[in-house]
Amino acid sequence: MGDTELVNLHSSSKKEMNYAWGISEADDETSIIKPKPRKRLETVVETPFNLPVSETSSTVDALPPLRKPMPRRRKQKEIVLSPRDLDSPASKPSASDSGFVLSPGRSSAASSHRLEDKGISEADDDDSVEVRTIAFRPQEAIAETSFDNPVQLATFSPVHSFKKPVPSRRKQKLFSPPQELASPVSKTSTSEHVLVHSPGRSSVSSRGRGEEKDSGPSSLPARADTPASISSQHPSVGETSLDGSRSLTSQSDTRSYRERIRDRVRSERDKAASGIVQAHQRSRLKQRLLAKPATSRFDLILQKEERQVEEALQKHETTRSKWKSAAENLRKLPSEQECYDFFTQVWDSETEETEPHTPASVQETEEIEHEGGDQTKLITSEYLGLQDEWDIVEDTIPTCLNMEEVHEREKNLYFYPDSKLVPVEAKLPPDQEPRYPEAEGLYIGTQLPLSGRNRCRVEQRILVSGELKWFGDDGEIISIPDPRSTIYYKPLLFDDVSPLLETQYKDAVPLDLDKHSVMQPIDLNTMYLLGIEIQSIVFTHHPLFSREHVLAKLLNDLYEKHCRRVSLKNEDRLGGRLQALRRARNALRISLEKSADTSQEQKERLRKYNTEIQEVRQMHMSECRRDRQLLGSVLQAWRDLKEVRELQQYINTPYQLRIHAQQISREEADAEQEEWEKLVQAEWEDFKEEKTEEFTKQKREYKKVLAQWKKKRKHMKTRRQQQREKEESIEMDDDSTKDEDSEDEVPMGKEPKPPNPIDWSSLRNELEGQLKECFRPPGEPKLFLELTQSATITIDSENPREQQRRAAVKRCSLFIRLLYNGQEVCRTKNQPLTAQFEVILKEKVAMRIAEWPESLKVELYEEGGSFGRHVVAEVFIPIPSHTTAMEAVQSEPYEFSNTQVITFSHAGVGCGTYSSVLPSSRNIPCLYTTGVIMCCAGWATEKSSGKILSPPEKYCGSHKSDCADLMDIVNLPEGTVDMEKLRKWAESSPLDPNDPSNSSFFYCLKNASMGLTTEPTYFRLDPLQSEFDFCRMEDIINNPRLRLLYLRDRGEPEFRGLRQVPIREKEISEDVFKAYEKRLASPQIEIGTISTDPLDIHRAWGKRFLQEIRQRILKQCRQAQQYRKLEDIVTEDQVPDIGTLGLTFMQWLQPKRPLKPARKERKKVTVQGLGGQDVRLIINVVRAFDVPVRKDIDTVQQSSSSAFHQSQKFSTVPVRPFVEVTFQGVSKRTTTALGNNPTWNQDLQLPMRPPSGDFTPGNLQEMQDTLHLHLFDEIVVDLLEDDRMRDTNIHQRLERHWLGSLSIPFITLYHNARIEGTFKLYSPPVLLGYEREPPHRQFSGYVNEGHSSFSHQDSTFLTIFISVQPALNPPEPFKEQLECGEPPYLQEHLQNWEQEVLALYPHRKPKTLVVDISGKSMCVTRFIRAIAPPEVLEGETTNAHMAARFVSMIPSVAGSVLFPGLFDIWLSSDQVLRLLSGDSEDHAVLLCCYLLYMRRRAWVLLGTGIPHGPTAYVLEHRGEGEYCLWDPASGQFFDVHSSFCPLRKVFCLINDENIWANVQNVELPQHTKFDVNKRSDWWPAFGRGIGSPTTSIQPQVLEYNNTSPAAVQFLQDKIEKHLRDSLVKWRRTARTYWNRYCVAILRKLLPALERETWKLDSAGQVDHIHELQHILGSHKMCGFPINMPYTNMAALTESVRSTGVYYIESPEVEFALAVYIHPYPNNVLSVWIYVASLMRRR
Amino acid sequence: MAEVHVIGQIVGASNFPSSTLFCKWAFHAGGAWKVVSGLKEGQTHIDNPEYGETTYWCHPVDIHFATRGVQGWPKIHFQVYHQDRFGRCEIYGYGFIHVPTTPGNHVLECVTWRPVGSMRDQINQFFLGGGPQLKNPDVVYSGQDRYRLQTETMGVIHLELNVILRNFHKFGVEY
Repeated sequence: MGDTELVNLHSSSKKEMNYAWGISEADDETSIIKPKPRKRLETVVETPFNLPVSETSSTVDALPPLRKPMPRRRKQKEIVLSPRDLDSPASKPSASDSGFVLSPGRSSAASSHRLEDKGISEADDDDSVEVRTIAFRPQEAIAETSFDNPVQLATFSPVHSFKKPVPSRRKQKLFSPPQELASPVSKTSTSEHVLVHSPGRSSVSSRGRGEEKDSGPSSLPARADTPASISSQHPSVGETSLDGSRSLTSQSDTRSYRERIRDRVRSERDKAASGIVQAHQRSRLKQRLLAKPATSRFDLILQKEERQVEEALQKHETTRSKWKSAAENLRKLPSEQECYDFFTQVWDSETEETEPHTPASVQETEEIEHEGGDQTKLITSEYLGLQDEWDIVEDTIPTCLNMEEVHEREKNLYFYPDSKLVPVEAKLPPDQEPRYPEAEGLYIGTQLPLSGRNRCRVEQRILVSGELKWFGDDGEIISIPDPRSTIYYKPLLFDDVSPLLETQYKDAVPLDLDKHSVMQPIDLNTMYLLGIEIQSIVFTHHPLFSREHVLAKLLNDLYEKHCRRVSLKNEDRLGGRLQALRRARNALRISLEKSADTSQEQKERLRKYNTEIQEVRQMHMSECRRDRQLLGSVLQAWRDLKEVRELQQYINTPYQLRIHAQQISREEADAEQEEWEKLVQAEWEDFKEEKTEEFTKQKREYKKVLAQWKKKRKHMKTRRQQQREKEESIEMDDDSTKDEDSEDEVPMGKEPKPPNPIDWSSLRNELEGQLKECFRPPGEPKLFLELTQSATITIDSENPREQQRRAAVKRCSLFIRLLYNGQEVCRTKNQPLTAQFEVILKEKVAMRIAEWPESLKVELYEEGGSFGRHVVAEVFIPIPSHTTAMEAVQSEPYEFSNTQVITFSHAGVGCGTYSSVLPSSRNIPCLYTTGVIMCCAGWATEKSSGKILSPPEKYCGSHKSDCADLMDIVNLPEGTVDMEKLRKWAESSPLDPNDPSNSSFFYCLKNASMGLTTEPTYFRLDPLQSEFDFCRMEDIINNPRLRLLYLRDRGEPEFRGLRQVPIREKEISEDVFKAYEKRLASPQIEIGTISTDPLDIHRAWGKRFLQEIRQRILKQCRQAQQYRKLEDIVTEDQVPDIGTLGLTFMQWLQPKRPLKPARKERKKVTVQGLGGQDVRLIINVVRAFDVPVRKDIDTVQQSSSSAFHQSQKFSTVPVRPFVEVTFQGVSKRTTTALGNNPTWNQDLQLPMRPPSGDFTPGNLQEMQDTLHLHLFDEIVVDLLEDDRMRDTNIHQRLERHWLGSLSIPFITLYHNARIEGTFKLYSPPVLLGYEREPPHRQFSGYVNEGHSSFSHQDSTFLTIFISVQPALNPPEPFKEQLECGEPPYLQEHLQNWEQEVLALYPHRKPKTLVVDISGKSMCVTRFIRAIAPPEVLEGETTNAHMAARFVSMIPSVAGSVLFPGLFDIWLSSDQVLRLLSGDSEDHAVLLCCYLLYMRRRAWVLLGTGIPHGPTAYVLEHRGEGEYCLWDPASGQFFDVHSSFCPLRKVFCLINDENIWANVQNVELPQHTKFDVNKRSDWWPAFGRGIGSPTTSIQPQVLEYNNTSPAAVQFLQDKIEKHLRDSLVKWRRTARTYWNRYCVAILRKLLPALERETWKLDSAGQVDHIHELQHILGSHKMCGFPINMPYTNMAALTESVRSTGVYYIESPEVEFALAVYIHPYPNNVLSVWIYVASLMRRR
Repeated sequence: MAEVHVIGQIVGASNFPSSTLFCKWAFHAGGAWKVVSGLKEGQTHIDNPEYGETTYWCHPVDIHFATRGVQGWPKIHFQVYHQDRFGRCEIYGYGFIHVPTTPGNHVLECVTWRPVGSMRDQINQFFLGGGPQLKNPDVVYSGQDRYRLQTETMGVIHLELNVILRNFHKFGVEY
């Protein structure tokens, strides 16, 4: 039989057994570890077996392994298989798959017994195969014991079976070994067996591979028949059937192999067992061998068939019937008797077989070793295959040892030392006395604390081990002293945590993003109460002080000082010291004299004494002198005070100095004299000594010097002699050399003078004088001063000045504002100032703080006295430290002072002045208001707990504790410690030098003072950090590039537009910062430096002034605009609601009106949306009216009479106008149209570039660019000389002649979003070569015959439409509430009124409160007041036209340009004149004021005009419902009915009494009714309830200065020259000729033009032409005068340039340019520029 | 006089318990550093992502430093706040991260933490929102020992910074 099969069988059976027995490992072990099975088995099995056994059956629980070594015993389980089917071959096919059937327990028992007793040889054989399970054993067991657990059953069935027949010992034997019941599980094998020897087989089969071994015992026959009943079970066994299927394969594979193996095994066996194996065994083997081949083959075939057909089905069935069969089993079990029989039979046979087993077993092991390799391999493979059937892992219950036994064992292993005290004798070597080192005075460190029990144990243990060396002499264990230190090397970390790390629970709160609170708010749950008590204010100087007060104060001060000095008693102290020193010196001197040997040391001491005496003496003298001086000055002050009182004959102050002079009696005087003498003597001696010493010193010095000098002289002499000799010998010829030589000589010093001998008498006098100065000379009475306040103050003095002063003092009252962190907390009541200039306030303020304290300020306000309310002083009170409780603080004086300069007409001395207040000439320095506030601050304490309610220390302002001071000292920047300071601190600090904790500190200090620690031996990073620096901080700051970047980032105006900054420093020019630095350095540059011209200076000054205001406002605006709202950032279309939806539906239902399209508002583009887009101005030039036509036909060309000209001449087009638009230097022009009423209807687009490409409203508002529209006439000049070429060639030149222009500031466009309408062009009063069409041809239907002055003869109109693409967001009006100068009720009223008007007509915004230049809002009516106009012409009263002219010549700036953000800043008239600029409102106000002065009814009219948008006009009532309008900016006036009046909308009227809002439906001036009395038309702001404020802010009279004619003349020349130069420059390509004759004529003409504007005479144009007749005859002339107010040169130049005069390129052209400036008062200048081009007529 | 230019963006945050977040950020540099241009600190908008867990701010950062030393290299510190559905804000995390010291593009992640309060605080926090907050947020980036703070980890802030260095080689700093 092949081994493989065998193995298969075994392993599978092993599984089976595992399953049944629940012992997996042990069995595995047994199977795998062949080499030394016995021993191994013993050990391994031990445990697993214990448990189940002990658990389940009490009878068998004794443990064999420990108890008895059973060398021979095999612990394999023996399971006897009894393949019942064998009996009946017929049934085999069915049974074969079910495999063999296991014999009931009895059989197994039998087999095992047999094994045990009889043949170990077999058992040994089994080793390789061994363990099997008998699945059906349990059934039998169940039958017997009715256990339901198969495992248990399996375990115990043998027991039961044994129980009865076998003695207990036997049983044990049985159980202790692992029963190895060889069960040939594989069907194949079983079938073989069956076939081979079915009769005797049962035993064989039960042995597993019994075939080979022939182990089948003699009991076989008995077995064979027993199972007959059992056989019925077989088919039901699932496992077996499976087994069969598997074994089949292996069988087929290895048939031959198996045979071979078997042969071999057999031969081995035979060899081994030849002598031993009994005959009957052999015979059995033989039988089997004979039968085998047939069996196997037959079997194989059968199996194959079966498997193919029935495998699945049977498997199924078997499982299904498993339980059924089990139940059957129960029924069909062999009876007890049977079992018993069987058992006994086996038993018997076994006993027979017991003997031979020993040798066989030896044999077997060998054999098994052979097979080992194969086996393991196959086992693993089998495992893999069988996984689903058999569990690999199994739960085992943890074993537990018997404690008793364990203890017992441990007892032998462990030693438990006793905890009894060991006697000292035992610990020491015998016959040795214990010796205690402490007793001998030796040092013993502290022992480690050890509990006595433990110590005893250790000692016992040592004792037992006998190592006595561990014990010291004193019987104690030798140990090192306690190594633990009591000092902490690291601070404990638990307490004292940095407050930085504190966290704080914060509720979730809605975020208020708008608020940018700088201060960190305090948690509201905590309560911090800060208390401040202000007690009094005492002025040490006050402007209302009278002279007496000043003196009294002085007296008081001096007296106090005196008292302090007296109390110090310096005199006595120093005097005493001096005496003591003298005594000591004298004693020393005497002793020196006595003893002959004067040691150096003693001399030195004497010298020291002397110097000390000298010092003290001097100090004494100076101190005494000072005392006396002070006394003198007190007396002096008192005398002054008295004098003043006498002088003024009243008393203001209660001070009175009492002088107690202690008169001295004679005896006393004598005594004093004596004392004085003594003093003088003593002093004198010292003095003399000093002097003599000095003298001897000098003498010594002198001698030394003299000796030197003499030596030098001698040397000199010899040298000179030598020289002389030399000279003589050499025969000098040159004197010069001699001179040189003599010069060479070292200049001899003068002979030193001996020191003057001392003149003792004079010295004595001197000393006495000194002493008298310092000390009270004898006989002089002693003075004691006492300052009392007993003087009675004169209650009412006659002096009126004093009365005034007192009244002022009485009026004066003070109060205090308390500011915490810059916010007012409270203010005290007004307290009157007492006559003694004290204020008792006694106010206590407690505040609960919500912010960490930063500053606490007291502001002292004064009211009444000298001025209105004003701040006298601000005092910062230090925030109390967190430990300062309110109760504990003392009030402290806080000094304040004020540098205000005040002078009074009354008796008050004022302050800040140098007036000598004293009758004596003694001067007192400039006095300023000073004083002292007595107050205290502290934290409140909680009443119950006494806790100070103060915030933690770090929040307590900048207050520093002592410790902080220390830190200051220690933490010097260099990381060094200033020892000196530290010592001082240590002296003043309450540190206890005896406190050991401070010892190191003081030691350090001591050492430091001895100069030991000078070099710091530590390392600090900071001082060395500089080594790591790349450069200094200044380098960074001064680096031009970085600076440029920084300034650009900061948005400084000079750099705001800067786009790119070069990357290299050298590319940045040095003067980039000049403008910026200039601005920083001198906010107010000397204006005189800009220009020498006074006129320019005036304007420059005004400009600068406005510029500053503008900057300020811009800043405010920009700040205001930084707060963006959600709408600014997020554009969100509204979600349609019912309303809007309804409207849209309504729209569908509405009738369609395609001819009346509704305007759709264009979508505004946000700033952000503009990025990358180019913004363009779109100008639609529609048409023009009334263009002047050419009058002067070129006669010369006419004469040339070409066909072309002919045609032109007769054409009806006398003018070919076009419009040129210029913006930001870019120009576009329309095509040329024909005729005097041309239509272009043309779109022009111009790019718009804001400065620095920034489209924010703030930036756009700053744009000062202007859009210029110029109307030109295009003239085609034919240049073709040869008429013959005319048919084929065109040679022409285009000339343009300026006809008029229009300027629109961009700001206007920006604010209005679009500009649309017909505008009047500015055109010169005279256009040479052009004329207007006669009036009847004009289409204007509104010409009023009666008012020829209103005709539109001289104006051209242009219809345009301008817009910006894409639409820009207009700036938000700046809605900052400014301080209002009006009373609140008025303010409220006006605001309400304004609101109501706006509710009616939202776009008609009347102006009620406007801001004046100081930033306060005022009622507009205050701006209007009758003011006399200047005298324009000498001897003539100024008429309205003159006034208008004057006003219009004040340069105007668009209001929005001046003050962005739609600020309403109005200037008063004097400001306008002073600044020489203003917007239209300012002009209108001024004009209105003048008109009012002329007793005309006039109003300022606010509305919208062209082209400037919101403007102001002046409305004048001319009687009988006739009104006319003045345009203050141009000085023109219009009838209200004029259709071309630039005013388009009328909103409101203002005069000095009232404000009227237009509440008519119409707003065109032509249609508006101007009767302000009609309430239905004009709604007044002030009525019965409230009148307008009365006082005007305008000055009563305006002062007009005459303009200097010389300056005007100078300017005129300058302008003319400049313009000429410019013209030449513009005509770069051609030469410019000047027609001087023409210039002269033009100059003459210009003043007339100016006069014309005054409307005095109607000289007019006729004269003008007449004057020019001369030139016009010979030249074709084209030119015009331009008039404008003088602003600056650039403006003039630009306006001339824009007329395009210089465009004429004809070589023959000549130019004429004349400038005239008409001076108006106050530097208002009207500039006339006459420009003309002339072409000589041929 | 070396210069450091940091350009980039605070991309967003992730892994926070809730993603309706905004953050306050600030650059902090040593005394040797000077901000030449750009904003030193700022606050992002509140992002409430409807899709996904990541909060995106994409908040631009553009700052230009000039320095006289490498000490105190700039770092950015953050305070992340959460806005709950009632519109209330509570702290959700602190964190800081150094600006990278090498030039080039860097994708950074800044982890954040937040202090944990007492049991009571936590209960409060759970029901009422809010939470313990550092009284002095300087602790976030200062060298102060933070041993006492009990914190929990919060999410991650994502940054993308481009660092441009200039003139460092002049002073012997190599990168």
